[in-house]
Amino acid sequence: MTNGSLPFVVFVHRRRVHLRIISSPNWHNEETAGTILNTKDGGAAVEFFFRLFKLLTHRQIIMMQQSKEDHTPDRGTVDLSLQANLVQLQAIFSKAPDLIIRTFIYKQTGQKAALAYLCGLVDKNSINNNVLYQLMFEPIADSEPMPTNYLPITIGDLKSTTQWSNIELMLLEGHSILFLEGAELAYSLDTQGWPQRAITDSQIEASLKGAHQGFIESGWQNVALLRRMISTRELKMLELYVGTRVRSKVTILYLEDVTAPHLVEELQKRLMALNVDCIINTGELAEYLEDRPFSLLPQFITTERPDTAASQLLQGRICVVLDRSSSVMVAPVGIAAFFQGIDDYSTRWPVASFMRILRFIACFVAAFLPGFYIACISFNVEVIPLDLILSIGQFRAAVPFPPFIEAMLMELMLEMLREAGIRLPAPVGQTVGIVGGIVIGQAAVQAGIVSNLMVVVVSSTAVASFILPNYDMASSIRLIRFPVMFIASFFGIIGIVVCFMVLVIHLVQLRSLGESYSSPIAPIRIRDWKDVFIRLPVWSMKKRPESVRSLQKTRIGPKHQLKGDDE
Amino acid sequence: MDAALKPGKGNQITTLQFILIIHSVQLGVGIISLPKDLADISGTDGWIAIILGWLLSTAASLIMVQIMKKYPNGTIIELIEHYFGKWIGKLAMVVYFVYFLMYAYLIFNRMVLLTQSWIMQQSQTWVLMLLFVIPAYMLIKGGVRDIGRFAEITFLASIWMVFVISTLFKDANWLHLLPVLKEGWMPVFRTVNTTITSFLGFECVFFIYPYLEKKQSASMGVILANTFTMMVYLFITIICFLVFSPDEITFFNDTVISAVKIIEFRFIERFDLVILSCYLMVIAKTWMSALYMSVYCSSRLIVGKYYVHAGILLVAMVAFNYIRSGGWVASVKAVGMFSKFGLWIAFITPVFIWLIVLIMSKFKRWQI
Repeated sequence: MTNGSLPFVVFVHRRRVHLRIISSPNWHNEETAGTILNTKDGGAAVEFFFRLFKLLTHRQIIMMQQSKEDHTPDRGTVDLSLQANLVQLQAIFSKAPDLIIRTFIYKQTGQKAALAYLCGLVDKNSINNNVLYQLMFEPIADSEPMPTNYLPITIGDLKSTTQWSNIELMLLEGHSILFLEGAELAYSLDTQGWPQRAITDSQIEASLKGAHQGFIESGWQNVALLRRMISTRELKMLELYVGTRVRSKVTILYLEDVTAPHLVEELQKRLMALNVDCIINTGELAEYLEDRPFSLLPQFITTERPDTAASQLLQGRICVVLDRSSSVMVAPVGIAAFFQGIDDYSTRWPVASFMRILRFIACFVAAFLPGFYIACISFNVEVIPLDLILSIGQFRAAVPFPPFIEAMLMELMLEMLREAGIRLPAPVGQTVGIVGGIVIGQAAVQAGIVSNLMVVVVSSTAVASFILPNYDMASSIRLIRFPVMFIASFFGIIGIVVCFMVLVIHLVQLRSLGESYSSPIAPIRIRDWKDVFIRLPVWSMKKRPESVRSLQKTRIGPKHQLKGDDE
Repeated sequence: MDAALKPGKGNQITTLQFILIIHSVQLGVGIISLPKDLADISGTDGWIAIILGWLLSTAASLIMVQIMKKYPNGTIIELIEHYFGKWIGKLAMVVYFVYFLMYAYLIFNRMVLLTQSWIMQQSQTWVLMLLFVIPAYMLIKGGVRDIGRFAEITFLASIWMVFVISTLFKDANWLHLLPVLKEGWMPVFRTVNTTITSFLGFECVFFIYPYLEKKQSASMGVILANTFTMMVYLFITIICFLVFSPDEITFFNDTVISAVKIIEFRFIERFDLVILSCYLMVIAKTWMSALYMSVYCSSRLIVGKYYVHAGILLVAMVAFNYIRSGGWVASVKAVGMFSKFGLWIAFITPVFIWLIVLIMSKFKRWQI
């Protein structure tokens, strides 16, 4: 780039004039301006044009950062005087004791300077060693005159801004802001370093043979974890900000040559349409984006494991990383995806297939067994073999309650125990299990409140409901059990069949990001079944699942390796 | 017309769904008494009549596909409106509305009667009907595509019944079938009337054809659907013929359930209860799909959302049953009358429509 020949475009957007430098296709944000100002010859030219436009338009020239300016209020620009700037900063952050403003003499110019940051969000080491020390004491290497915008600091990412609204956002995101006396701009230094936990195994999604790194609460780290899994240039990311009060960064990740573009567009559209105060967790985000918010079933997977997310990405799905949340959302998913654990792919396929089938059976048991028991006892006694009914009668003779009440008592007790076990600290949690399971169970039978068989039914239901690898799905299925019990107590087996029908119809009608939820099962896509009820050997799954409508169909094979594309 | 009813992208069914919808409308409550009805007329040669009925119904459904090819983007209603004008179109709407509503109600009624007599003797039929209102409403609201998907899952979920019923083969006596054609062909021909009405339901081709994704596979689809239904009928009928002696079989009204009652496992007694309960899903598919077609017509005829119509009709059905629950005898009588109506709708009128449309489409005015 030569001096004075910077091409740029000015356009008006929402009554504001934008200056956009287009010398390079990816120079379109503030970063660019910062970089240019720091170069030896370009800086003056750009600064000149800035002033020119300010004069011409009497309006603010705002650097391009679309999503930022959409939400933040206009607060004016940085002043020439340092004192005025600091007063303005104090005004913005009143009653914020964590705002640190350090004033000092800038060695290079001998004038006053100030560094501001929020003390909890920055890395103090890098501020002390890489910024303050160098600005205050570091002698200039040679006598050659330095350009006015040169900063002798060792920080990778250096941006400059003139907008108070930007400064505010940067500070809140953990950057530190450097003001210089006589400069009509402020520098934002990349000194982020907020409290963070180490990358550990996920608590709710245990893994036996998978990777042991789980997502943590930092968006960039999570993206990095995924990047580590899929280090290819085809992994594309879209960055958006949601939330009007607190901006949360949302990153959409997908494989460009695999994922169907209409899905990405749809997801982006839904995210852009969000108008909420603040989004804290991925579950909350998922609830805003769901197709059928009143459904019992989760329509997106939220996972805490990078390997799960990566394998979903490779199947052609989209991952959504929300900054500050430790789980990642995957969309679109079908019901089958909730039955697939990532461990399935690292154990031998007959074992994994067995586990899959077990999960499907367990799902049925968890949803329908108590209902079936109630139906058999109170309506369709003929179904039970004679020997069994005699012993049931013996046990139930002492129980005064009808089977429905009996089952409800036990089920509610069990759910309470489960919830209590989670809330209590780990050592006490076990006690709850023992007290609940053994003491209450045994005592309740002896006291004649519930029958023996009911305890068997309820406890096997409980065990079955914990087998699903996905927590959301497991809890939904646990909840389905109650209406089933209710209907079964009125209509017997017929009631259960009707419940099953309602469930199936609901499944069939659900959509996840516009794609069918029941996908490889209905519509029947036999080819996808290799990975639904059973898991066939990985080498036999040459194609990506059809249900995701991926662009690139194959994942194994010579054709794939040669062309990198199929059909 | 509601947007959800419009055929086109996003509202399409696969060939398999097409097959299964037709099959599910055909296969309903009729099968339970079919072996007895056949045996009444032609003894144990009745199964031959099923094959004849299959030939006839396949021919009729192929004619329907030919008709629909003349106007591929709409149902029979639009086709009739296109060729015969608005008022005849309205007449067709009324006829199909009444036909499918009767179809739905009669099967629904038969289903709850069956449930009442075998499983829930103490319950009123209208209470049992009430139970099915919610799934029916949900399914009809979903439209053809969801009916197709539901048919797929129900099909998968009912395969096991075939294996369980197959265990009856150990009680089978193959001599019951011999000699074949013991009284000649005449009784068999007289039975064809019964069998072709068992195949009724393929006339839903008229309403689901425009939703089919690959129209060129429609003919194959209807052949497969009819064949599939025929195989199920044949399987069940032959099993019943083998299990019961030729005289004994005429004493059972619900032959299939009586046969299934023989099945007994150590861990579960009265297996017929379980099978019948699960079979309710299959029966429900039949009348729910029929009600959808009826609602399709009525929502074209009178303003209003089609699912509102569905809700009203469902409640009306329950109310009608509450006021006038006829019991088994009345149901048999009504179904007998209805099958004559069905014969006209499914076998005779399509031939006429086909011939007329064939001639009319030669003229430029009616070409699309």
